[in-house]
Amino acid sequence: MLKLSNVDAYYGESCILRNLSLEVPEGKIVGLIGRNGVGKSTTLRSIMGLIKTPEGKIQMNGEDLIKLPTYERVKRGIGYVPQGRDIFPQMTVEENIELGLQPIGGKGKIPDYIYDLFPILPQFAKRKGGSLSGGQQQQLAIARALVAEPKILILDEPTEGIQPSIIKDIGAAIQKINQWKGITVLMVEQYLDFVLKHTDEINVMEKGEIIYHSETKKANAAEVQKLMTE
Amino acid sequence: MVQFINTLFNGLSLSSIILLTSLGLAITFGLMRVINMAHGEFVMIGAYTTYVVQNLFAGIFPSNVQWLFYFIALPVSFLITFLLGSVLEKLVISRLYGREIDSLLATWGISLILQQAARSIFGTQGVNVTAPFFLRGGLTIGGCTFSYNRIFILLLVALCILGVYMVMYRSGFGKKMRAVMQNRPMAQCMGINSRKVDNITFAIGSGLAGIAGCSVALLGSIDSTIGQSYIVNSFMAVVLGGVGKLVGTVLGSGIIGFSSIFTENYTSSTIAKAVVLLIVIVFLQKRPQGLFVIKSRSLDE
Repeated sequence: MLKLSNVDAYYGESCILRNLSLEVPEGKIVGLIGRNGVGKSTTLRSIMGLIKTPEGKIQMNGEDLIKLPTYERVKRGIGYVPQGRDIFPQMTVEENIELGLQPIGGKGKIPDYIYDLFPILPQFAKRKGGSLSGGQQQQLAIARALVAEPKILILDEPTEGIQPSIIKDIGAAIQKINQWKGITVLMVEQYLDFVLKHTDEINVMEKGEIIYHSETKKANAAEVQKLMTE
Repeated sequence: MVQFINTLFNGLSLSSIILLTSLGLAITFGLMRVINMAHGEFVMIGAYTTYVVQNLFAGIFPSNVQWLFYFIALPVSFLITFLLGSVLEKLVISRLYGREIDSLLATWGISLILQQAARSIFGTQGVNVTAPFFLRGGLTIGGCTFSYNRIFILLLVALCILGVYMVMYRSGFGKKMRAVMQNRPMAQCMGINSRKVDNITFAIGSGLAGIAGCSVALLGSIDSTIGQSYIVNSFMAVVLGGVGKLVGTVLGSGIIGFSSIFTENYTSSTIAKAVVLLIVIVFLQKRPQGLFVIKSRSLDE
């Protein structure tokens, strides 16, 4: 489905990703974990085309995305939920969700399953996105990314700053998205238990490289924990 | 009482003219954060377009339908300044996003070029547009006279505000435009071609300046510096209202228009200008963000 081969990425002069290779198989939920500043979010931003990647290939279903602008990558079927949510604060909840329809022409109906996944959103349909709590904004950001039914959903720290009860809902929603619609998921996280519970594969990053990869059910949690704290 | 009502009407009229010239600026400066010093010259182009359309009509159509020229001049002024705005954005502004001082200097240079071009084409002497017959004279009620052309401008402003509102809040393009202005990278991640949206947004702002030019052509002589007369008040209205808020621009224009006319009524036009500037400075010292602030709950609570 999604394949990164020997990708380098820079912020100014600083090299953040070095020769990074990562594969996200179709239909799987893949976790990408690591300490702060190892390049997890940069990996996702590289996939989205939000930062330049002078070296390497980023392929989706065999097509190289590297020369495509962000909006064209999204039209190829990538849904993105960034760190900090980045909902549009001055737009209503409904408008935020409708914006998610842009990759398929901006028109159409919001699929019913979006509100089945996040039943709280219809109650706030006419409220400004910026007035929602952090957890509600996270649900809104995921709903917005899903509304055009992407082939792959990319999530950047979906549990960051969220209260435990909502983390549980978000975890359940991610699994339902995968099971109901067959949407592939790539998720960056620091919350190890969440990754162990909700993913099929796990990757650990360090200094811009993948240093550990395993099927989640076969992963050694203690070893992963050690890699994350060393 | 009559004098007070007349002053009130003059204040309303000046506010509407400032608002008309500010509307485009509220989009290019307020929403896109582009300091377009050539905005006044788009007003000038709109005014000269009206003059050219008038002359073309005079050469082609019989005198009994000459008055129709103005209804053709309005959309033509919008269209010409829209297209010029689009070209300017594509060639210059798009390369200067995020570089406010550079864009200020570049657009100031363009403003000088456009003024000189106008002098070369139309000469240094002012030219005049003859108002259509139904805009001549005024409506007299109880000793107060309300000139038809100023009433017409009030209606035109109301129509423009409605148009801008419909585009921004009731159209698919408006939704894309607001998304790009609020969070450009995220708008791209929604599948929006932000460069295209920038271009059309800037062109709409310029087109509104063209309509403003078409209306100020009714009020006096047109020359290459006509835009300069409005640009300072327009910038002040946008900043006073709160950058990024259209309703703020409406109120900002009102404050500047009314305070200008009322002060001028009891003092002189020079003192009025100084007083308005003082009001703006004092207000922005107390409330630098302007009348209206964009509120949002913290994202990381």
